[in-house]
Amino acid sequence: MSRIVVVGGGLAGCGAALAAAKAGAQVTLLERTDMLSGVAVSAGETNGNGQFVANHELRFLGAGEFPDAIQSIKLHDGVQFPDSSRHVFIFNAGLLEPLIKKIVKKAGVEVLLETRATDVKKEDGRILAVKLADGRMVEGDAFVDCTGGRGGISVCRKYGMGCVMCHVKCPAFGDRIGMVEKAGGKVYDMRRADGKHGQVGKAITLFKDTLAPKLKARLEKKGLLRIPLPSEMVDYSKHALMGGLRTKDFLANLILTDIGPVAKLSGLGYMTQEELRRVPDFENVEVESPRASRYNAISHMAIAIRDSAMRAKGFENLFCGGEKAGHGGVEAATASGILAGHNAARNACRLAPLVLPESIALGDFFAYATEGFKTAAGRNSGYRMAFGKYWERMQRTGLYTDDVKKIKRRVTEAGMLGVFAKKLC
Amino acid sequence: MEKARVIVVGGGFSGIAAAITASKAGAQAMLLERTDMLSGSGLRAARLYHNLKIVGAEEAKALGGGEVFEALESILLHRGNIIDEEAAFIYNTVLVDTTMRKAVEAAGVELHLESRAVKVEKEDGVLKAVTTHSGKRFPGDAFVDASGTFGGLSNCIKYGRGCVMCFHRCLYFGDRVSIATQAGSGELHWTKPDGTPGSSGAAIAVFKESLSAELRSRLKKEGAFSLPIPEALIDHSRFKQIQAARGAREATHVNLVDIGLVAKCVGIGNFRLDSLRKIPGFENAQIEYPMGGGGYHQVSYMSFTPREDSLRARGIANLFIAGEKTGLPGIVEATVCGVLAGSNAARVAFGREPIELPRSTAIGDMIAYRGEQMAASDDLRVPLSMAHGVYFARMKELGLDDTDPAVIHKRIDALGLTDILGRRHV
Repeated sequence: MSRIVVVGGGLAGCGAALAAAKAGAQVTLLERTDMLSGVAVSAGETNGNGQFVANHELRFLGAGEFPDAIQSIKLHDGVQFPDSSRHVFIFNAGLLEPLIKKIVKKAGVEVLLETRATDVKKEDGRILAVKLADGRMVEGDAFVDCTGGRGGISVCRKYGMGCVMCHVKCPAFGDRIGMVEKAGGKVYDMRRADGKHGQVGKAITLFKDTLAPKLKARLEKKGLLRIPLPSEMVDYSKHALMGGLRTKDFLANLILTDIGPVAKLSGLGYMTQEELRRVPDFENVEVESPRASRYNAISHMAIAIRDSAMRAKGFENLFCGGEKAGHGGVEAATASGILAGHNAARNACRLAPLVLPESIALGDFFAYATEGFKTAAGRNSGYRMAFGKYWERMQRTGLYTDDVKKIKRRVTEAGMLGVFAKKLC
Repeated sequence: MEKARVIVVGGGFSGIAAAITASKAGAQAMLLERTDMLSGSGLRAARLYHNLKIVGAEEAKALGGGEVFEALESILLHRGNIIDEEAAFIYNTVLVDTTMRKAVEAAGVELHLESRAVKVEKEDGVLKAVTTHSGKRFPGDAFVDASGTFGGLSNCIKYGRGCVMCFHRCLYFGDRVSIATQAGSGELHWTKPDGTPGSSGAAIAVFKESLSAELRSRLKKEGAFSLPIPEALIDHSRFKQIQAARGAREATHVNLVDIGLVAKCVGIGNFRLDSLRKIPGFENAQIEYPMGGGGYHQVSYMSFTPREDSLRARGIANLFIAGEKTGLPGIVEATVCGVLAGSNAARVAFGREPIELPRSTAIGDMIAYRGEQMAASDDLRVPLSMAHGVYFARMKELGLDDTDPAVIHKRIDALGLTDILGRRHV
């Protein structure tokens, strides 16, 4: 039986571990903290615009476990976002982790929590093992790096405003350590408009009970609220700081979603608790993450150079998924992780890696991103299926559709139906 | 003539009480808080007045320093719930910071948030000024150190399991700095059973929404209740230790308290997430505090200051100690010390002598009793609380156990002490 080691237990790493296990490999998943699902603890939204297609394609490709699990913890459906994201599905982010853990464990994956990989052992372009913080070596036939690109503390000190105590929890569990970098592979970071390294988090989360009771009730009923920011507080100059991806609507309004345990505030990640309290109905607000409400954590610091099969450049048996592969967001992180895990299993079975055909949205998306990431502009903007350049492309090329039958037909015609569900060797 | 200035370091309940009391006495009171929020440990404390704690609070009111208690009573979430046979009032942690800000403002205290005092200037045993991390100098006629005893980061790394990301938020706002220690007062700490310094918390907090619907509705209705811990999860090696510190029931039960923001789980401070989720109703639990997950806590009780019964720091003429640093943790215990420290700081700032409270009052006796213990030994392992243990028993022995506010106010009045800490000096 081939052995696959996945480093990083966010949605991408869990997806990779699941896909490799389904392909027949013996899989070990290493996670630095005491919880799986990584930064998805504050995600809460999916299915917006092109994400809808990605989620359905995953199902027909034979890897619908996570989209289905998310479906089961619905809070609100059919929500319209101010930037024209339609049919957004909002789920209870607080219930995601136990579900994901159950799925991964049921597939036979060995899950090691509070187990931090710190180094790799390699021979030429082959990774032989990863080294753990306690010195143990975990050997494998192929490896997947899903360690993300957030923090650690030194990064937030250098390029942000210090550790703001975010969900990545570096102080308690140690900094992210990327396997691609440790193996000597090249990574790059996103640059802000002013040339600074990394992205500043755009969203923060608030304790729901600290909102005015009527506001909380409205939020829980509607799922999403768009509350105009008092005009003297609107600061459009923060557009670049907040990534510049979405419309300026996000700077002039408090776009609040109910994601279960907390309320998510998107687009105003730079605002402090003290500033927020000047908004009517926010007088007592307390920011849940980042706990030291200031600016935000620094992300997108380590994107690996990879091909459309998610193999890291220069390595035979090292793959990557999620933010490490340049793909954040629930569905893109999951899909890139699944492809990476599946290809790690193929690699261990001495099969050529799978590249998803460009006739389906995920195939086109990954190929487009592979090309795009070769340019500075592409690297610095990134690609999302719900908004921005790639969403425009999906509409133009017709890859966006809300017709599920059409999505199934495309996957079938591409010969990909159930591809991730097949045992390989 | 310029107003006498009292500088209070630390914006927890005791620092707030000290600043309000000093301001009422006629001084210009300045409250310096390291973080962006008032209330300190009170941000996740929430249980008030169980057992004989109400005696301390009512005495403080009769003595003229009840503002903090009155503010907390204005945001009660649950009144007189029964937890482990203790009558507890629970205030709403959602509103505590803003409520305290209003109380401080109403008393005319000048509040400086994100102002961490790190340096002192001393001349001939007298403090002259403190300076914040950003270089702002606060000269004063008298000072109160209410900076607490937890952490900071370096202690949690040395004596704990590293930073657990607690609400003290040293990482961002910087470590607690003890002004008294800086001024040369000396420092005592708690010792754990294994001989290492500090103490570890007994509680964690979880998001209410991550509990089962049944537990959530019980919390809403009852405010607080005990749940038996499944037999397999009970740590029998620690049973005796927990029993001695907090009672037999806490060794086998988790007390769940709705504190507004989150659900506080008392008695399972040592539980990791995977054990926690084995308790019925906790299957999807998510830990809010400490943010770094369950099992480990911040190191606390690291910085008690030797002090007189007037709460004046030994050897420093115009520095008073409030809150946990007096050797008396607990909301009520710490806060009443803040009232006395603030009043005495104002007295000294006006050129008067500080006062002690007589041992016929519970506050006066508790301060003196703890003072004797601190003078006799460095070993502060015996907790002192008006709610349980040695001091609870002593209050009963001394006949200081009548919880009727009218009786308590009458007792203080008979001693001629009504409003003694609330009066204006000029």
